[in-house]
Amino acid sequence: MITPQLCSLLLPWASLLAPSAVPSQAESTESQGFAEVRGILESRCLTCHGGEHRKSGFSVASAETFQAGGSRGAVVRAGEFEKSRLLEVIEYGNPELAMPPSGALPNDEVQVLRSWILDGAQWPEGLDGRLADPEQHPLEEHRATADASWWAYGPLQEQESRKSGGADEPNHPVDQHIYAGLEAAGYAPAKRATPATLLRRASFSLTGLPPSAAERKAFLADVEERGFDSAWSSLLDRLFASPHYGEAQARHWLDLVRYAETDGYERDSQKKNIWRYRDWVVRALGGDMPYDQFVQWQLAGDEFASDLDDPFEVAEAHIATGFYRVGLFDDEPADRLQAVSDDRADIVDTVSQVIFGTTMGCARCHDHKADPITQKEYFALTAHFTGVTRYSKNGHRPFADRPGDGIWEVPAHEARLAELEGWLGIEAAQLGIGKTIDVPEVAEYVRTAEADANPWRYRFLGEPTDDGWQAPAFDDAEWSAGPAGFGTHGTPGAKIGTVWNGPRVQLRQTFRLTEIPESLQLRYHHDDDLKVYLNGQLIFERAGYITKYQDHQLDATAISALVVGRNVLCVECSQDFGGQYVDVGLSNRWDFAAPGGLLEAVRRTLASPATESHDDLARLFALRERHLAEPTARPYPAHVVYEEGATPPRQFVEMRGSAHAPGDEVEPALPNAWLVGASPDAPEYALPSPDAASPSSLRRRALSEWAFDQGSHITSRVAANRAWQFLFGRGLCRSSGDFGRLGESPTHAALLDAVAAELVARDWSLQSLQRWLMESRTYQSSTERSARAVEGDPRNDLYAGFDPRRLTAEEFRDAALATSGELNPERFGPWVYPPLAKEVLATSSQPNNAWGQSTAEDALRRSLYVHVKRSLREPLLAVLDQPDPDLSCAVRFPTNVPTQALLTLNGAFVNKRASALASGVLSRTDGPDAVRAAIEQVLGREADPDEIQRGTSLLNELTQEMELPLEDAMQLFTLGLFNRNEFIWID
Amino acid sequence: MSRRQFLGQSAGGFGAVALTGMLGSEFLSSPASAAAPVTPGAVAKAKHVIFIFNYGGVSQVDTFDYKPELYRLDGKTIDMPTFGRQGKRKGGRVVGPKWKFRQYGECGKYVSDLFPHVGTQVDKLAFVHSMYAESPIHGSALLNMNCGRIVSGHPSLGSWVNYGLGTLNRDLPGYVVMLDESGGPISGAKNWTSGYMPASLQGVQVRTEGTPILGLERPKGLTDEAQRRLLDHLKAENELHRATRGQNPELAARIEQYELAYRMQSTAPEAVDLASESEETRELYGIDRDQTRRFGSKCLLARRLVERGVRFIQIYSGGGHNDDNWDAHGDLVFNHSRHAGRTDRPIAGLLVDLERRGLLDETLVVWAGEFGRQPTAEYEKGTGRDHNSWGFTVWLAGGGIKGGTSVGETDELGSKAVTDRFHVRNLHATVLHQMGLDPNGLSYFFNGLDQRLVGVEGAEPIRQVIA
Repeated sequence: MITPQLCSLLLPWASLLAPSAVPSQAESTESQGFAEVRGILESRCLTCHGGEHRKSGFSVASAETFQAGGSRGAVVRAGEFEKSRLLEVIEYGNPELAMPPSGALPNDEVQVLRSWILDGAQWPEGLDGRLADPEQHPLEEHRATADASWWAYGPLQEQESRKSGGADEPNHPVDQHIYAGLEAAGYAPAKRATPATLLRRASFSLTGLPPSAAERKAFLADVEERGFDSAWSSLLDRLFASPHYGEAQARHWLDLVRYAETDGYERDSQKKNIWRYRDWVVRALGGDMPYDQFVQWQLAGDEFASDLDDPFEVAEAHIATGFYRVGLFDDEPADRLQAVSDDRADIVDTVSQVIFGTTMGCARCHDHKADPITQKEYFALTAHFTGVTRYSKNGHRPFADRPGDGIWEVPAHEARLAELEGWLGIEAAQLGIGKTIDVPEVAEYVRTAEADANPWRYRFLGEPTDDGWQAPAFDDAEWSAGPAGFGTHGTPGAKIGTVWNGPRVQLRQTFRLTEIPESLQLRYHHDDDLKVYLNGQLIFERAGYITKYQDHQLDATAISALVVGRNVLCVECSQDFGGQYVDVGLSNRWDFAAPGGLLEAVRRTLASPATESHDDLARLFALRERHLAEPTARPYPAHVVYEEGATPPRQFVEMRGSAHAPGDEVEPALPNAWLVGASPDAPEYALPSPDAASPSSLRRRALSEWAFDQGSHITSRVAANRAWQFLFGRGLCRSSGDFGRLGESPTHAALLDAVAAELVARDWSLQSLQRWLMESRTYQSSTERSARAVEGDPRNDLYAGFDPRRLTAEEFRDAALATSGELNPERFGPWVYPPLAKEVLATSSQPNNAWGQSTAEDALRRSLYVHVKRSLREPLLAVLDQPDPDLSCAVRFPTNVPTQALLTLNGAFVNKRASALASGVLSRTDGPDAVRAAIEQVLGREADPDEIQRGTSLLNELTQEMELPLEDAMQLFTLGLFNRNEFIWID
Repeated sequence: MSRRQFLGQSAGGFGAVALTGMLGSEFLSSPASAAAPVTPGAVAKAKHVIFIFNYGGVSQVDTFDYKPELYRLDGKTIDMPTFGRQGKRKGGRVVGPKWKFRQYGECGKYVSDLFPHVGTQVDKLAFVHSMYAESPIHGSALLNMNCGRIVSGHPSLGSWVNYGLGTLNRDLPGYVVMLDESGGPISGAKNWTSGYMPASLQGVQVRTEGTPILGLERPKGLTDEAQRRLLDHLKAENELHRATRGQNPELAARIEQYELAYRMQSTAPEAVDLASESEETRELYGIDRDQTRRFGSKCLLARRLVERGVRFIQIYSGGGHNDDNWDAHGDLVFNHSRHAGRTDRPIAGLLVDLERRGLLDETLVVWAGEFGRQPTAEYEKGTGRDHNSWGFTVWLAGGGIKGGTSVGETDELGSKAVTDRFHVRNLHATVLHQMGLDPNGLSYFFNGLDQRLVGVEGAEPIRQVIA
């Protein structure tokens, strides 16, 4: 055929001894072919034949050892490759020689090795030919040792007590550090920025929103009256107390923990109520939870919960562990074992980077090339998380929120629901939609015991099981058969067909459909808790008991679970005490008056292409849906972390990061690099020894306690650097997620240590630290630096002035809403869906089902609440550099491209804000006053008379020369305001 | 300063950001380009890539991987391991190829009757029959083919190409994606994401119908002239603002973005205006026929974008779910006739047109999907085939590719790649290599690692397809 033969290019086996004359092309082809062989050798052979392990004296660690062979001589027979011993053992022909002992290699791997051997078993020189064997290629090769001399690993530097200076000398430790650097370089610090500039800067720093006109007037008056320092102090008090403070601080944290609300991958399913974690972050940071506790609860809230008494506090500790559940989840991985390992690596990478400032990703496959982190240490750290169960769609647990602050008391929530449904019923009755569905012929798919002795497959159980019994394909041949009506005689309303008097029963029944019905009605009786599954999907759930049969009109979700052909209905009922009974039936009946009937009728009416508009109905329905999703003081699902007992599965070193190639077993331990800077008399890192009944291994708790005790020199530096970054625009160490040798060195290492020490001294209060930093002249300095400083220090490493910064994507969107007067300041609760252009929806594989619809009010909420869907990003936020949420983002990467200008000029979002602003202004005033008002509202400052003049002439041109209506012209002018550099930049 | 430092610094501060943001000539002339990882001694063979993504999984044995033995086994149950969405199976019922194969061109390549027009172009094409990927599941396999990894969050091939080379035309995005009318592929924007790289490197959707680019259309009722007045006013105000802030170069850069955006409003519609093409050209791409009009328009637009300097253009054949793409689980004949019928003539037309305009030499055309399909049936009855990542076919053309070549083989039933097997990484390495980039050198520093499209494992280009 046409395939060119590679073999002619390859070298004979013997040439290994003299590899120098290899033509370059052949060499790379050879290396490439070898990469696959190397992978197989590493994953299948190296554990027993590598490093110190040399079973039969044979090692595959390098070309030399491979060529040397083992105690039985060479494994490859030159000249007669077909007869090589290696081939014989892997082909499993001779059982005594068959390798690996755990079972034959997959066919394709045998084929790879076979063709490699037949082609002469080429082993490339150099790195390409070196296998990942930590024992063979030790850390010393790159000479990174874990000693405390590296700035990030050593103990916090003792702070010299600086003399407090005279009137001109700075008193604030931050300024003392900064000014010392400036003085050494011969630059003067910038002057203090104007009060108005500082007001805007501080408002965005702390709340992510611009100051309102009233706030501006009040602050400037206060400065006049009481002087800057007092006014500034009061301003900070007000901003820290703002309900929006927690929201803005949370946004930073959510970048770090790669917060998203869907799983990613093929289905990109929503993570049920995962916003409860987001709300927890907002509340925790808003309430200034100490940073150590903030991290400890996220890492191990479940393991700390036993210390707590208040049930709501217990719930919060658990909800904090949503940290583990916000990441990617592939529900259909090609390689399940590896996917579990990948998920765990995602956690390890995030924790090590976000909490410890150490990027460890590469140590998963081999010892870190630059930092003193070995592969073994990577997996020893991983062992803290081995007990964490993998994310699962149904892995949530019920927890109640503490009522108040956006959370409903249960009775109020129920009353409001009843009220909404009452209105919905009235509206539905007025529209006459009760007869939405016409069922010409009633079909009973599953009969209840009332009618006859319908037979079920069943089993009695003690504890719930997770063996997939609800799945249609489940094999229930082992189960018993018995007629419907399971329970004990004497239970009210029961008709017993089979006596069930244990704690739990599971039932299965098959029925066939020739077509999918329009409606589906469930008839049921239960005592106690009931769960009904249709083709594996949970379609109905009731707690407690009832005393007679009831009907429920099932919704479209249940109907969509039906298939033409064989369907399986599965039922589970559990029992505490007293009477017990379960029975269900299924038919295509339609009863508007039955529970569920009204809602299903409304849903259908709204889904059908309406001849008339049903705006009121739609609005009521949406309000009800939204209300149901709102947080209440009743237990409801939250994705939290849990383990399956005190002893987690064993953790092994995974060779080259492959879960299929386990190396040595590892116990939980910390990287030596984190230990070298701890106090010399610190106790040794102790592993927990939980008692057998413990629900978890307590390893995460041990790690997180160590992190803020002996490890505080590391964690405080990381946190302090980030606190600085969020106020000043960049960290004292710019690579705030990487304090290793590949990151950047801090511009002010001693200052960083001082800020870290301050954080610890302030009991890890971030708010208090922020206040301290903002009281420095350095934070308050103007962005105007001296020409010499600009020239000599282009990156502003020395902070001769404040770095101007562009608003983030969220700040821009929120500021547009705030200044147009439309912002809905409501906090917390389920995510919202601002409208997306159809072009954006068309990028989804399910354009009609890609995005939800929120009420108009919800669409005007802060960006923090916009649904974060991994496969479909809100375009304005995405184009303004909101990071992709799959991986932790320590520093955003701002870009400057014309597609941003297109969206802020032509996009619907900004134009709507401009329109709202224009009509608002025009409703109050007109002419130059309208121009003045618009400028003041959007830019937050007095309008300049010339500027008003220029704006007025633009309006005149547009209305007179272009004959635009005044409203349209004004809208263009306000659109311009949102596009001003002044609007999107902070001085 | 190395490229890494350059980008690292940009990420840390706001310093050099507009430079990368522009993706343009600034990037090339910056000090960073000195460290740009170009293959030593290699000259870029191609300046542009047109990547035709056949989403859903094309059956190789029904298109370009001729397996005569399969016809004879039709309907017989055989032992042959497979791995698809139904998991691993030991064997199954063979579904013989549903189309005849004929020989085409000087190379005598066998091509099925699904692609009679592409058949006439085989002397331009280099087939790789021995591709394999890491996953037989759409979501992760799409990520594999587009971003090199089955784990989400990594930049796509088009982002890498633009990161390495920058664009040639600042008035148009450097990375364009054209989707099927039925919707995007599974995982949507993840397939053209820039991952951990700057957002400016992500793919931009361009449409042949309606507004070509999101935000390009002025709001209703706004005339060009009125907008121009607004922009003049905005520019004047922004300049006044900048006058007292001379130290911040970003302000001027952002002012310039508005001029670029304004220009894009006229250059982009001009680029997508296919009406200016001759009748003959439109026919060549099948725009005159309902069946091929939409895909043909995208192919023609791709050529126009190449002429205007766009680096990387991806066109999806198929979108959404089920039979809206090549995912032939049910009726193979219906499904593949549908999608081949829509794409055969336009693809051949594109190759002919690129060549006669002298663009084929500098344009690398790639035809691929996320995986292939199994020779056996998925279900008890019917012709549907399950996914197959153990062996599938891709082809390349133009841009320094050796036409009339076939590389690698699957087994005699077309199930598994057996000789000269090539991982998706090798295909990516080939694309980067032809663009003059060193696949094992082009890296982006993230999470403590020099990240590469071809991974830490590295990969060599498929040298047998290179002229």
